[in-house]
Amino acid sequence: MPLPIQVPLTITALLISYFSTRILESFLAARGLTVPDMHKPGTPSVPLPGGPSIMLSLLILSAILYLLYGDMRILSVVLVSFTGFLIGLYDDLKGLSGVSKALLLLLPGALLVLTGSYFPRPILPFIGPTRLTILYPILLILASTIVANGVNMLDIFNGLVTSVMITVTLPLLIAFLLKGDTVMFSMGLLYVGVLLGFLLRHRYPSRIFPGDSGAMLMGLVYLGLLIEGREEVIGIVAMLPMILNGFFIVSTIGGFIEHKDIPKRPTTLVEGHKIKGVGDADAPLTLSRLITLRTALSEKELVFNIWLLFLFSSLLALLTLLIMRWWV
Amino acid sequence: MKPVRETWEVVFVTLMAWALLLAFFLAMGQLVYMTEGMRPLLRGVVRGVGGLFMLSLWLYSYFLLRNAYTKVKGVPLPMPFSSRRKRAGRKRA
Repeated sequence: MPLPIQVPLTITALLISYFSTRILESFLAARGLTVPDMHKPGTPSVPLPGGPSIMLSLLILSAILYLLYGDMRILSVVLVSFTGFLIGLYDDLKGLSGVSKALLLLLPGALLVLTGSYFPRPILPFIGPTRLTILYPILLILASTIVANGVNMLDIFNGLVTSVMITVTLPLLIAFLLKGDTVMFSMGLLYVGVLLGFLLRHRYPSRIFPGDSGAMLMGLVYLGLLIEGREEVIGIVAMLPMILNGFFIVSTIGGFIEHKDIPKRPTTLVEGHKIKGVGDADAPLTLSRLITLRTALSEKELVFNIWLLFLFSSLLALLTLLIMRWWV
Repeated sequence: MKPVRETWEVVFVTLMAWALLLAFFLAMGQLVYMTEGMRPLLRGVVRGVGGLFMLSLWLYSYFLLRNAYTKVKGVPLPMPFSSRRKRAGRKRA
């Protein structure tokens, strides 16, 4: 597909996502589906979950893309993300324990394995193409819960998860473009378009929160893109700060626990509604706690600082891409 | 908006994590290269055991990275789980 067609499709994705999010905001607010935004004066109520508008936009745009290309990989990405979305939506509306959520999120990866929609020959740096017919499906199922939960752990401040997911998708887009994989490039571009539309409402000060349905969906679309586009290593490197954040949290609290069940908070609100990392040994170690250990930051400043980390890891992903191309 | 010093420090930790990941792949690449001439069964065993060993080393290096950074910053970490279990056992006794 020539680029002049992809650009209007991406703009359409942005517009559909933006307007469906605005409609969803009114719908949720009218039904009292709101949560308090704890980091703002007066703790204003913000509608949640915003996941349905992201899912709807993705479904519409993916259907158009499938009609254009007829590529089954598009359906695989949609299948993975839709399963994660349903699990997240149930969690948003009814609530799930940390362990059951972690176990249920093995399902999207398992579906990919069952449908055989993966290629167990990843290209690894310094090794080249490999054949991992037994190990790859196991890793894929585990990656499904790791990525979905990891992205969900980032959804703590206004606009953070959406801006991070846009940033880490950019190296994947470059990798697809260099490889000449137009289908995955278009799918990735549509994903960025949808996220940009949502970001206009999710950025500081947020008018809507994505909720678990939105965050898990974002993570699983990303997983689908890197599995179907066969750019696993680039995706892992771009997500390194998320992996570190998840590893730090799980290794300090000793397992999967819901946000609200964590006994000690990693950060606290100080004067002027600034966020400061706590010095308590029992609090989980998170990126936001590490960054605000010395200086208390406003929510906007903290989001910018965490986003910078992901910008850096995305640059490292591009460097890895260069190394891999040079090595082969 | 300007990045704070801690952000640069975590950028450095990310860089270290990336270097460790690439070191893991480099070591795995060497293992694959060195075992190419072996008989298929022996090659499978050596690659499997060696791969698991290097994977464990790589995961352990992340714990070391976390501990080193928190020590430098003076961030207290929770007691290791093995010590928690021992303490709980002593209390029960």
